[in-house]
Amino acid sequence: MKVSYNWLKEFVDIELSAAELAEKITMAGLEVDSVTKIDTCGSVVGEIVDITEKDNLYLTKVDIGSEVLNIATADKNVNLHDKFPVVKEGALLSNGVKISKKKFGDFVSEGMMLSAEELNLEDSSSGLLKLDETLRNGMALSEIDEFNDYIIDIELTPNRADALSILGVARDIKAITKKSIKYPKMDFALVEKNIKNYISVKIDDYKNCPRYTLLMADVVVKPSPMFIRLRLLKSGIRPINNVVDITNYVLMAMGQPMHSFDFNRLSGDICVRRAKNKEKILALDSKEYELDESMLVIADSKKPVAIAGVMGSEESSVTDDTKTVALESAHFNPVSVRMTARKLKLHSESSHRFERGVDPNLCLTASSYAMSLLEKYADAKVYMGYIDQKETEFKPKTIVCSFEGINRLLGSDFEQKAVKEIVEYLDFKPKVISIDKFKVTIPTYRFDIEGEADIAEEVARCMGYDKIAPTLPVVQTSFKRKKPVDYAKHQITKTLADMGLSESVNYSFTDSSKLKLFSKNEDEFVYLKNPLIEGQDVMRTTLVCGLLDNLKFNMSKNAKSAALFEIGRVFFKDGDFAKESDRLGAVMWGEASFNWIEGRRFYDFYDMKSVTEMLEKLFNIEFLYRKTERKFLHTGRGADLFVGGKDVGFIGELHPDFYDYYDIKFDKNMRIILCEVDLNSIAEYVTRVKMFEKLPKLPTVVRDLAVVVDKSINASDVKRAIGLFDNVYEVVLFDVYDKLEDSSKKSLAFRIVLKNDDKTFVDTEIEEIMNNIFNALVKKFDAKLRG
Amino acid sequence: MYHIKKEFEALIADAKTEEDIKQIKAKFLGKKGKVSELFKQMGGLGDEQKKEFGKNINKLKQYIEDSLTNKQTQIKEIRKKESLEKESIDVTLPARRGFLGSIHPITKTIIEIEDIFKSMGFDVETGYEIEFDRYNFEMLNIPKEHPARDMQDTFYINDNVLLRTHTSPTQIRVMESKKPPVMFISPGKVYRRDSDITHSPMFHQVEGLLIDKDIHFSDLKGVLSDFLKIFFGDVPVRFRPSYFPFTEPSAEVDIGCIICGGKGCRVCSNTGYLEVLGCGMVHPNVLKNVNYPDEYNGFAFGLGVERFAMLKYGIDNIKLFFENDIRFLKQFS
Repeated sequence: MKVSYNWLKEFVDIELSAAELAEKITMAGLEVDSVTKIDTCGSVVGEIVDITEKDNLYLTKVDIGSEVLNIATADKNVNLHDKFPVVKEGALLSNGVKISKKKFGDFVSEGMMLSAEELNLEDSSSGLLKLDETLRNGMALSEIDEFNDYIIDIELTPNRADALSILGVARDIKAITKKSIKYPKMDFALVEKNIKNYISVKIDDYKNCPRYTLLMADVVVKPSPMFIRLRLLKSGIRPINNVVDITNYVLMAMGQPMHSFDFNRLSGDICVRRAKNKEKILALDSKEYELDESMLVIADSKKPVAIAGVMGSEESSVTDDTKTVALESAHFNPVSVRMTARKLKLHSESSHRFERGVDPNLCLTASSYAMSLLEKYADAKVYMGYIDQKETEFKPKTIVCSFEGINRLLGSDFEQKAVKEIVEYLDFKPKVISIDKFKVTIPTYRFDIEGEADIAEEVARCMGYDKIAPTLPVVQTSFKRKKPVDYAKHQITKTLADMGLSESVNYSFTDSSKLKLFSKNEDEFVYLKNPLIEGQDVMRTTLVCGLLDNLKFNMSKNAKSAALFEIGRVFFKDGDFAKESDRLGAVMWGEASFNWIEGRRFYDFYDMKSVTEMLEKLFNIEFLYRKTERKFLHTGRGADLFVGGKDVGFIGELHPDFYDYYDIKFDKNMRIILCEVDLNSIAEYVTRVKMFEKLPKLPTVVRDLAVVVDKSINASDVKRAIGLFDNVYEVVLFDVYDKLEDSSKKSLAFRIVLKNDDKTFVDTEIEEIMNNIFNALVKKFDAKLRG
Repeated sequence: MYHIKKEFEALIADAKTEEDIKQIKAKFLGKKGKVSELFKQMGGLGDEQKKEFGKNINKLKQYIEDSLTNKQTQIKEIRKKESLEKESIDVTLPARRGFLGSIHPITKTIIEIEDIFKSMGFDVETGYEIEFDRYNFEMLNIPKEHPARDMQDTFYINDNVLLRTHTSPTQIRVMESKKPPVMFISPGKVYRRDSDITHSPMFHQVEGLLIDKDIHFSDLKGVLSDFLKIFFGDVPVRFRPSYFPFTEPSAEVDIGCIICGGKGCRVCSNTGYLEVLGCGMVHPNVLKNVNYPDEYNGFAFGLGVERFAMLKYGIDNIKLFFENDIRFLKQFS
């Protein structure tokens, strides 16, 4: 909310500069975003003393006191003796534009008349900023109070509805600087007409409209005086005409949203009721809205004339021809207003305040203030009487607090007297009722105060949070044993980084059309109801999509290789809710090495296998590698990973067909290798402690064995068969050769370490063991000795 | 004898190879060598003289033998050194095993934050990223149609299920499953329907909760001040009143701008301070919602990991975290 420093000063004495004030209220909970001094760009008051029209251009003579300038303008609304802010050639506007002489035929324009936009008071202006006629020609704008001002932009938290006005902010300043509030004059004369003879109001729904007041007056519609227009501009509101401006002015000053109807455009009496289904209203923003039964409207006998608390209709609005206004000042239920505004996607200064809560006791004060201003600036003749429909009074609530309780919550040592004084300045009317207890009466504008904790916060913020000295708590707590996965995540991350992979972090939502390629079961997808963009419409069920996106992105940046991993959640539909699981995903592509020792080598399956083997070691589990059934993997170069009979992930090259989906050219040297393991699935098979295995007592013996087997035989099966023998301590596969004469065969060479715990081996025993091993391999794999 | 010594010294000084040594040895100590010749000259001398002369020759002989051995060792050393020199390598070439991998700055930051709080005795908990509206809002004192919901634009799965907008639902999850006292932090991903230069639709938070008997706002100040001073170094820390529906009193925590040292710059919008944390004393309604007994209270806090990482590493664009440009990632090895 933008508030004018000068306007604040009308409500409370301020001895601080704008910047000091900003700091002070920030530290008391009204966070100031910025303080901006109005930049008048060196402009002065200029009066138009001559106008000639030529080709849609107005060639004027402007008296700026010391001289008369020739200035051309396109604004049609310039009249003789109008006054505007004027800058001469050479001036620099805040938007960076430098004013220079311009020629229009024979006419040389020597300056410029400014709009509010050029003075940075508005985003876009439709015309020049008209100044009061009483101002002296040539006077610098910076000497005029309304221009010699600061705009303080406060980022109000939603609980502080009470501070959504100049008065509200002034009340907080009053409390923290211990001053008093100065109220404006609100008196006006009455004419011999009584509102009761003209209109009546009926409320159908007191729950959503607890109070509705109406005043009436005959008015003369014209532009507002300069100070009203400027104050509205400084608050971010566009001036319209005096009647509308004054309701907005009072809204800004006091926080009471008001609406003025053109009485002669209303048909019959007012009724506050629920809208009918599909009932339509053309609102003041010139858009038509379709309403439903949950929404509250203000209606005349024919149709809705306002969406309650949100916006009035165009057909009942005040225009230049309006002669009589009916001024609404009401109280609406915050939830009802919020729901309506959200459903219609229609937000206004009015709905913003009603949603957060407006003082139900403010209605008539605000409309009196408005009438006094209308009398002065719209020649208002105010009717006698007023309409005030309500079912109940709005009584302030009381809370009983304990001085000790407040100090205990805060960890402070504030004296009773100091606490009481603060509460008094907040107008909470404290009444001490016992040694430690006091009762406070909460003003009806403080919706946020509910209990002792709230009073404690009020005390703390007015005292200053810095008045509470930091302490350290002593807590006796017990710790839960963690799931192995929670322990392991950081460890996996560190190990993979050591192994040369870089960690990625991707969005959890992805493109459903891409995700479908990598999924077996689309029924499990968790879709977003309101995605931000189309390509982020579904929660990921695999990390692969994100990693491939990363790969693609890095290719576009001319990367020659990528080895990335991610540890993150995947999501699956579970009835109306979702199941989540932690996964490790990895992708490798391109140069595995490109250096002076190893030269150039490309990532292959076995680089990725170091990732799965690392997991086996870390978790003390063993994967079963089965030929893959996943459609996105290379059928001959991929494996599904099983632990305990459960599919827990996969490893393998991306299927060549899938390169197209990512618009990546398939290069048989630069294959994309993927891997994904569900960490939660393997967690249940994890044995955290691997027990110590005794070392061989006697010296071990090392023998090599090379066998020729069919290419289809898995080396790991052969290795496992060797390992089954009692005397075998360790088996290392040290060579695989597949360029034999018989191309269907391959040779596998093993180093076998033999142990014997009873006695030292003799050669014949070793020979016997090796023979037994070989014979077993012949039997099982039809192995032959490599010749 | 003096001349022989001089001659020997001149020769040995010039000796460069083991062959030179051999020749010098033959020349002086061989059967026909100069020292042997000296012995032959002894024949014509008297007993006393002979004794004296013999002693001197032996001295010379010993001197020559020692010198030769020394020289030989010297030459061997030089040889060895030369042959090692020949095997010289360029020690500035990079290592065989490059440290090419890296940990994402978000993870790095989370690990650092976890380490600090663990050392203070906080446990680490995990929560759900897809949550019920009830846990994300209602149990945290944010009923439906509460204006505070505007603070967090939400992704919905259906009317009651959403992507959590903050890590605070973990507070409820843990308190529902565990009796007080509780003391934990919980890092994780959160989601808001917002995307621009400073906002990402997904980002990371670390939540913290401490509930016990007799916990004060001053404790909150103490714990968080210490944490911030460990993480950012010795910076000024200030607490400012703010509002969160699930805490009362609530505070925002600022640290002195680490970019400009508090003088005011673009990063701190010339305020000299950077907002880094939201916190407060847990709202009585929240404790009531999880049926905690009245004598328990405590504090909660939440921080944005990206913000901490951006400040710590001087990263100026939140998008960089999720593009996963290898050139960016590898700076964090």
